[in-house]
Amino acid sequence: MEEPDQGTSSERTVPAAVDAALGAAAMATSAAVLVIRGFARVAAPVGRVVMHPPILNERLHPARVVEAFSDRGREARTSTDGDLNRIIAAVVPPVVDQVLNSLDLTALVRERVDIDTLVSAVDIAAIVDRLDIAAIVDRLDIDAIVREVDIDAIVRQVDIDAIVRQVDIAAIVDRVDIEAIAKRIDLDAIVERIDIDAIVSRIDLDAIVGRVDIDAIVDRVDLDGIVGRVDIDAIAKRIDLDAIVEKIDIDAIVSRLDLDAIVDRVDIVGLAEEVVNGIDLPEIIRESTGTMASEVVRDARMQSIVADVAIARLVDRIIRRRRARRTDAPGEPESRTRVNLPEPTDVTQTQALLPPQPEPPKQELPR
Amino acid sequence: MSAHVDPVPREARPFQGHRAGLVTRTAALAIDLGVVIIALGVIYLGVFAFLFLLDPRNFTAPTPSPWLVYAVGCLLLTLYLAVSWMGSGRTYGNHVMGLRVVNNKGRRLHPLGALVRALFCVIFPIGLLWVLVSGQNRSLQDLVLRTSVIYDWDVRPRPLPDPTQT
Repeated sequence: MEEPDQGTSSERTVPAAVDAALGAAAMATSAAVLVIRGFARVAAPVGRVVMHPPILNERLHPARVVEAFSDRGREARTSTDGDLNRIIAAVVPPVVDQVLNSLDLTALVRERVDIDTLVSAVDIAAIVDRLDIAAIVDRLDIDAIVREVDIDAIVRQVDIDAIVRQVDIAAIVDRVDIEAIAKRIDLDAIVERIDIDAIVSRIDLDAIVGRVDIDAIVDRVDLDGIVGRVDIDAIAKRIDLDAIVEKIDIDAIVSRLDLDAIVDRVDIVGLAEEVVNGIDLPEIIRESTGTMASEVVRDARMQSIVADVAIARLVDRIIRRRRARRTDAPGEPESRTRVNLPEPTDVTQTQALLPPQPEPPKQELPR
Repeated sequence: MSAHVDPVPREARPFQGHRAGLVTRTAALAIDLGVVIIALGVIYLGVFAFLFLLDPRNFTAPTPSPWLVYAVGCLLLTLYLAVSWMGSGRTYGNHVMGLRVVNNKGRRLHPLGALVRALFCVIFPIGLLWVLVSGQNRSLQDLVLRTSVIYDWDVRPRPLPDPTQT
């Protein structure tokens, strides 16, 4: 858009004569170059002989003269460089400006430059390595940046529900080392900061107790284990039984007792058996009925036992037996196992139970 | 729960289960001999009545030889003793005198053991006298057959002792 204006301005600053002179000089220069190159190729061998004639001393060669002229010319050229630079400084910028104005550089770059190839040739990693990111960060005023950020607007645009749905909480929890976290928690410090009284005052204990399944809890309690740990003796020592007994209304208790049920549970038959064995009921029966046969048999048996013991003692004395007879036989007679009477193991014990002879044993043996 | 009243008089209880002496055992044997004699008499009367019924006109009282009577008596006594000992462990004489015959484990005799002991007693009755000198009130038969004759006034069979204690 602005290029025609610039072209107009350069036409004003550069005279047309200059352009014509430049064109003529360029053509002359090209022609001169061509002529000189052709002449140089043809005259090069002749020139070398002319400049370095073999018959002359080297100091007298024409080439030395040419070198001298060359030195003078170099000095003159260098002395005229300032003038040439000034000419160039005055001529080149308007020329280059004009050339650039006549070109559409953007389109030219699009057509001629393969930007993808250029970018692929760039070593971005090397560039990044050369960057001093720390210095860049130090120069950043992050606070100012943050202040300018409208966080509320950002948050409003975030679909938190969608994010949460994509999160695999189970996997996260699996990766968390809860034990390590727990070890790092100072429970004492946390507990000290808790106002337990305030918490308790806010708890509705009645509602909690109403929701508790006490039966299930009691089922899970190991009462045997608890009772095993209780020192019942120590507890019993601390109980004031006299005071408790004084408070008991024994008459009321007795009036509520189901004596019939208690009697049903008592082993009256076993009790009676012990009593009867203790009072020698067979003897009472014999005395009350006066059965002659049983009396005779009993007397005969006892008399024979007494005679057995006496004769055995007599024989033992005659044959000078020192050891007592061992008359206990294998097995236990039913009559003795039930009454648990002492078992005589030798004659001396047996004799101790017998009456002294010749008195009848019936009168001496306990009944 | 079973009620039991010990029928044994208190003064006799300490002797229960001990081996009996010579007097009691002899008395029992005498009673058993009386039983066998009575049985022989009954048998004689039976034979007598049988022969009479067969031929009353030509009937004459049988006069068995003493050897026959002795042999039958021994046979009767053997069977009587063996059956009594293998059954309740006591003959009638044992019953009257409150005795019982048991084996070395305190149990009732095996039928074969009872028969052998009965034969031994009938063939060699004098073996009973060994009770006098035995330190354990045992007869010769008891020593050989490892049996015992004990005081046991209870009429019921003795309870079997625990085998682990024997």
